[in-house]
Amino acid sequence: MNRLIAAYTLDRRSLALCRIFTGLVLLGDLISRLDWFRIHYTDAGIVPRQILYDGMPVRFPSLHAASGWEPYLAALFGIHMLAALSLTLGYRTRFSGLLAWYLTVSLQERLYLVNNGGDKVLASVLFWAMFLPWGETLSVDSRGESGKSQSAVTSAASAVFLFQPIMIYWVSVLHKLEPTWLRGEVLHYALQSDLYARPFAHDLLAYPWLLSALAYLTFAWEIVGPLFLFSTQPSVRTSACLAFMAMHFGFGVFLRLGTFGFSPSLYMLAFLPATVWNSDLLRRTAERWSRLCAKLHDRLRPAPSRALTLNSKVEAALVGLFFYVFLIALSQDKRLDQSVPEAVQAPAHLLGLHQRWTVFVDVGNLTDGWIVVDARLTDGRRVDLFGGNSPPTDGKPEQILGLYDSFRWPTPLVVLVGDPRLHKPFVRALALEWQRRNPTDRVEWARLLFYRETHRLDAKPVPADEERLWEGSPW
Amino acid sequence: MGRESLVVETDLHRGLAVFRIGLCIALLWTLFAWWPDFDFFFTRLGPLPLSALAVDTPPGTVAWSLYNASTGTSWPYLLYGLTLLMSAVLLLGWRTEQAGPLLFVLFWSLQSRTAVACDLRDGALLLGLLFGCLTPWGKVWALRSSPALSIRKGAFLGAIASVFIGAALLRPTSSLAGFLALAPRAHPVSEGVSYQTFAEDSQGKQRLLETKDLQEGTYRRRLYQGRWEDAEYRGLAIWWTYWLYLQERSTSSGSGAVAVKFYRTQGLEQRRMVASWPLGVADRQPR
Repeated sequence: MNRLIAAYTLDRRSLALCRIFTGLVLLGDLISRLDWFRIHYTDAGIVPRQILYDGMPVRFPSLHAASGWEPYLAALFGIHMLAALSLTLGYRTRFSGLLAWYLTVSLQERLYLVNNGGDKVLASVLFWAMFLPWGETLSVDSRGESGKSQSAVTSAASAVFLFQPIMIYWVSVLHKLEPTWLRGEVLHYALQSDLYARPFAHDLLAYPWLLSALAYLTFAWEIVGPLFLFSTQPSVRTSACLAFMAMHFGFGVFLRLGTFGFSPSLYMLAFLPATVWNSDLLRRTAERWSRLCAKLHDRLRPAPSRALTLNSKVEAALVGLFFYVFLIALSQDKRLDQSVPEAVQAPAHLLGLHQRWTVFVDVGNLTDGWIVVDARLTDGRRVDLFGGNSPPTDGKPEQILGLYDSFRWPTPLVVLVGDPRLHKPFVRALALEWQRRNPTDRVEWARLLFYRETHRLDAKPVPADEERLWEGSPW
Repeated sequence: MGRESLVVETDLHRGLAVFRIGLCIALLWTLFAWWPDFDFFFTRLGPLPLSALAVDTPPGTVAWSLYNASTGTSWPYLLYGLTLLMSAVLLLGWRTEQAGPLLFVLFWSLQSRTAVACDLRDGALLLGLLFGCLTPWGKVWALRSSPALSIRKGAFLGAIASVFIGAALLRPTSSLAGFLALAPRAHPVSEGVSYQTFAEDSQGKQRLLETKDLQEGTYRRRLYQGRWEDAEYRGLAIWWTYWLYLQERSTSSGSGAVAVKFYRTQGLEQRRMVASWPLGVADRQPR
């Protein structure tokens, strides 16, 4: 029993490290979203609120959906960035943590098409950490130091914090009990995907045995690896944490997964045992950080914060909530005959904890290909609003995502292809963006084409099928 | 502090408390008066779902509202209940410093949700609430007297609010008017105007649409007392959904109508067709 309790005991400095990197990841995430701010989040974008309200329910009350006005949304982004920075520094940590969590989920809800697993992980870190004292050391609030900095944290919240990533891996393993994964073929298909795989990842297709081995290794590690996180042996636990970080980093190197490449590592940072802080490098870095926090404390003079204490009722509620989130995540399997009623899932949506861990499941049927938005300008010229070519080129482009090369685009494109309601707003948003970049151009007509590619196990090329999705004036 | 200034200050606090209590009673009365039509005007059950209000409008013409933040069916009722609760809390003077601004945001959101259903009376209440929040109106006759904003801070915030509202009414900054839901109420409301909806059959005969929901009961009050007049200023987007709503009613009542015509009438002589829409042609907008 003592060993189990020791397993979910978290070091305060490791928790603080998790907080610092959570703030930084959030800040980086927001900066990456700024590139597509207008086209993703405003009414002039690919999903104006008219469509959002009509067929894509907004369950979490989202301030980002409350208006489509650009200055308003820009102000929300600014506040969000300040909250992320404040969280990193540990300034008014509890309030900034709450604000960062709310605005993160609110933003994700505004256009959930662009989210991936990494965003869900980030939201879950921000939620569960609200119940942990992650601002009590290495923070401006604590003046860079704390009498409790050496003590560990053991509570229901720390247990839930440990079990959340474990739940992610084990639930995803259950989803992966399907032919592509069991035959070790998942990477053969995934790395052929032009939308998701990075161009150099295609080179690995020449080594099918290696791809099978990596697929089985990932599968096995997701089953067994979490068990090592329970270890009370510092070296075993540290190695397990580093192995998980390496796995996600590896995903991110070969696939356009964005934050999924590193946000699960935030949990791993919190699990680092106390002994890692004996290393000279970490100790010296922590001291420098503490000095910075002390200086900021003296300038900003934050109000003294009370220590976070959870009573037994709150602890019981947290554990209950976690089990509920776990069951909802489990129920997202497509193979279940009956889905869980919407009313039962509503609380998970309302807390931003609705999770679905079906990453690269049934990858053989993944929609793949490229988009061409062939537009005619008022001066008669033809341009590809998506690819940026003038005139639009025949055949497969070298740069599949054209002017929109970012990990935030593949998923919306996949959804777009299958949802006719999105076709005109998509073309309209691209036309507006083109005119903004080229002020003298005026788009008068456009057609949306999708070249669908299917992939074979042996990676031999198959000619793409042209699909005409939409045609007309985008205005 | 001299005795004279103390008396003046006490009188000021009492005066403000009277204003607070009076305003809250007026707010509660307005909120209760809205309740019979709440489904119709403020939820997706009525002819103005959120998607209709956000349809192809230039950015900024759709107002900010907490009601727009979620499409959950219980969300509008939750906000409405919270508005009632906060009105009562402010009336009783409990934590007025927090209750006032929260009530302002909630009442503003309610009006912005369906600005066409609001008129200058609602706008006056909103402004009263906005500027009242900046005064020490919870000092006396309050359940829990709370520290109020200093006069200086209140005046500063009041000046900012005034500049915002003023800017919203000017042309160069008019997109702010849409955001603040001020634009529809800036139009004058004409007196003695009513609307009639007619169904046209295949022989071209017109008759008043026998849609009980529209002609009788709770909706009539709104429809014939000018609430819908402002809708004219909101463009075809709103008419479009209004026709969809009429079509549904027309079909369910089995009237056999093939077209719907909507007239704005001012006296018997002055009847002007606002829009018409052939039923059954789903992809056409009203002319």
